[in-house]
Amino acid sequence: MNFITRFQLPLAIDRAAFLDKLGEHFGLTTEDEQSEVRTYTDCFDWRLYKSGFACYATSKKCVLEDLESGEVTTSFSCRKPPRFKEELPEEGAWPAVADAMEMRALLPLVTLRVNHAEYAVRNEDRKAVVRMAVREEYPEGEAAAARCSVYLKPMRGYESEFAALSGYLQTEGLTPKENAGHKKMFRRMGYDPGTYSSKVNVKLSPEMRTDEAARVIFKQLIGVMRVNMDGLRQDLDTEFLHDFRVSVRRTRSALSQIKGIFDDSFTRKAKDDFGYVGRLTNFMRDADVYLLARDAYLSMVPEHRRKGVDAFFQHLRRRRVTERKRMLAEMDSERFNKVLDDWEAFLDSPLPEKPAGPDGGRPVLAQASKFIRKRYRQVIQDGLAIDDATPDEELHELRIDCKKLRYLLEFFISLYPTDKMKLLIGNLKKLQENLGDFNDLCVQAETLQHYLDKIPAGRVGRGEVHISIGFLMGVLYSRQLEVRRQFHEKFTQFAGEENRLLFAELFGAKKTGGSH
Amino acid sequence: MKILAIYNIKGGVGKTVTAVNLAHLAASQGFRTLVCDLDPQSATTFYFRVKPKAKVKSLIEGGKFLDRYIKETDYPGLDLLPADFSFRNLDIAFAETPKPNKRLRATLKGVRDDYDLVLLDCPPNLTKLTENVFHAADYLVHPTIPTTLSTRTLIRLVEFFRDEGLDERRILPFFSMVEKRKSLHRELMASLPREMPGFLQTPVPYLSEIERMGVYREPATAFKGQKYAARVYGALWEELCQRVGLTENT
Ligand SMILES: Nc1ncnc2c1ncn2[C@@H]1O[C@H](COP(=O)(O)OP(=O)(O)OP(=O)(O)O)[C@@H](O)[C@H]1O
Ligand SMILES: [Mg+2]
Repeated sequence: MNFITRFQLPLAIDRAAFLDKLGEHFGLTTEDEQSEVRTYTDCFDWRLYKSGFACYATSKKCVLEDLESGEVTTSFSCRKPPRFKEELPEEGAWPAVADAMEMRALLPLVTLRVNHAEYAVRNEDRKAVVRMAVREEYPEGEAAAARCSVYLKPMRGYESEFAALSGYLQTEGLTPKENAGHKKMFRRMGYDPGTYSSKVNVKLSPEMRTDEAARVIFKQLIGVMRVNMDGLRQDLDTEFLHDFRVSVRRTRSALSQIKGIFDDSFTRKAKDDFGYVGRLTNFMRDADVYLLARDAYLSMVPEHRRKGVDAFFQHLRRRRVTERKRMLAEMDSERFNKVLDDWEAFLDSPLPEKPAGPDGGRPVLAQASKFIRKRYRQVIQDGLAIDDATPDEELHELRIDCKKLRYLLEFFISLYPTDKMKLLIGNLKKLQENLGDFNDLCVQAETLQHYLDKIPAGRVGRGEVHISIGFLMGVLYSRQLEVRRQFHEKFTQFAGEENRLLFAELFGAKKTGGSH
Repeated sequence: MKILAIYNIKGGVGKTVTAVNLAHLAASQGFRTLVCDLDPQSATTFYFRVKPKAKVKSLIEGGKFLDRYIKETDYPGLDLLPADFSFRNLDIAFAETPKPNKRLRATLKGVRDDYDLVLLDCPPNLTKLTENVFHAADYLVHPTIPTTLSTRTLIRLVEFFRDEGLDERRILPFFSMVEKRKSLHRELMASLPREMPGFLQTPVPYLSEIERMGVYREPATAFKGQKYAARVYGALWEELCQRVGLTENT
């Protein structure tokens, strides 16, 4: 039932006392009483929240609500709360939820006890004249923190009774309130919805010392690593590991690009350390990438060849279990923890008066522009050297250069006009997509080749595995050719006049600042 | 929107209890339903615990004059136009309108977007008001006690329809207040449907549950615990839906 008017019961008045008092003035009958425990869920990075949804599960059902109004959008019956999008029904608003979730899991956030009772307020003929609901909510086990709302719904032909009741409630100290929705509820429970993002988002000022700016960037990166460790350890979904790795990669990329900022040997050691951290997770990520794309792979081969290809996935899944154990053990090791702890200790230590690297003390704006200029030139130079006869390896080199450039643009975005930076990043992204696809296809082909003889054939039979995987490789190879064919056009676009001017305008060696 | 009148020229045959219970069932199945209590005795109004209130104008003028008096009952989806003692003047009022037999029909057209079903509980007589009902209703549901006199009234109604050029197939009689232990009831229930093929096949027996509606002021179909009347009216309603072509989501 949709109740239109909501009143907040003052914290000092409890529900029973309120109903007793009301009963002295109005005839009241209980029409319905329900009590349930709701566990609100969202993805780690608040994908439902960001799409305007709130979702909870009880022991019987899963319900989707509108974040703003708190009203029910749709629901379905289920005993266990859904975790992945595959468990959602393909109707109503659920497909939109599934699209927002992608590969992320729904994790429990807040567990609320909700006591909902509906009443009819009756006149002397015992005719219902106003509908009323009283709803009490509190975190399970903390009844003392209960919040209670009273909702009224007028009945046609009994408007004056409605006015009398709502007037009475206000004289009793109840205040009319807008429907609160869920934003406030999350905050009350100590969450800060929508805040996590794996993106780099640091605010730098142009005059800041470059070594200080670098620390700010590194600090955010290690923050993202730390925040993902728990979900990564528990294997809640694949993206904890992914976000962790991306931050490791960004850290390494930054260490290799910001030359002359810290002490050289220190930088080299940190790079090695994070190389070790990244390598630990390599197998897991590769396996995840394949397993996430399992359906896509299976659909690339004809129906009768799928068993052979699936044998590969089964093998991968088993190996992932063993490799995960190995990774977790290593993550508990002294070495691993020392790398992160030491790095954090360094980032938190006071900035030395005299920079450790020759360029550490320069203002970050000039240094950032220098790094970006250099990387951009490199990308253009390498790209221009590529023609149809160039070996694949050189495209991979270019891909890595592009990634480095991308990271630089993202680290230092706050130093430049946002809209132009976004445009530039967008243009770079198009080229990166082509190079990324090409690389993925090459790596996939190599991986399949590598596994070909390692997959236990089992009931499917060795021959069948070979034929199926061979078929799949054929499909991948023709895609690889297609992607490579498109490279030239993508690169020409990126190297074009628009970007050249943008790079010159934003990062050109300026005579201002007097730092040289 | 379908309009069903519950009509019999005789009094005390179960018109009102039929209107009340069928209305409740229809609404509980999701039909947006309006019951109009056309009888100044206002028995339907009483069963729904509503105070008599409406003015003659509500049915003559319709529109906002009708809207103003409609009350929400205790049952979701079920509204009521309560009767009023002034409704005793309804037939005079209808007689004074330009198209004296079709005024009610025009009035009810005004709510066709708001309701899926309108049920008319009629007073026991044959006046200008009832003639309006004959023109407004798609069907006349006719509670018939299986007695000789009741049978005669039904036959007289059919004849009246023929004389007036109205379609007699719109009359849907059913047996009301049936007492199986009475041999006359049994005999008439066997013979009458043969002469009148339009008869509905679900009889409503004489039940103390139905009598108690006046004590509880509730439809018997809404009673908690006692369910026999609910089953009987459920069967009658289902049969009726088929006959008049009411399907959910109309
Ligand atoms: N099936 C039944 N079993 C028992 N009692 C019944 C049954 N049907 C009707 N009654 C009782 O008979 C009386 C008359 O019923 P009801 O008021 O429905 O008839 P009516 O045709 O509407 O009468 P009126 O013509 O006065 O409007 C009521 O007291 C009612 O409770
Ligand atoms: Mg009656």
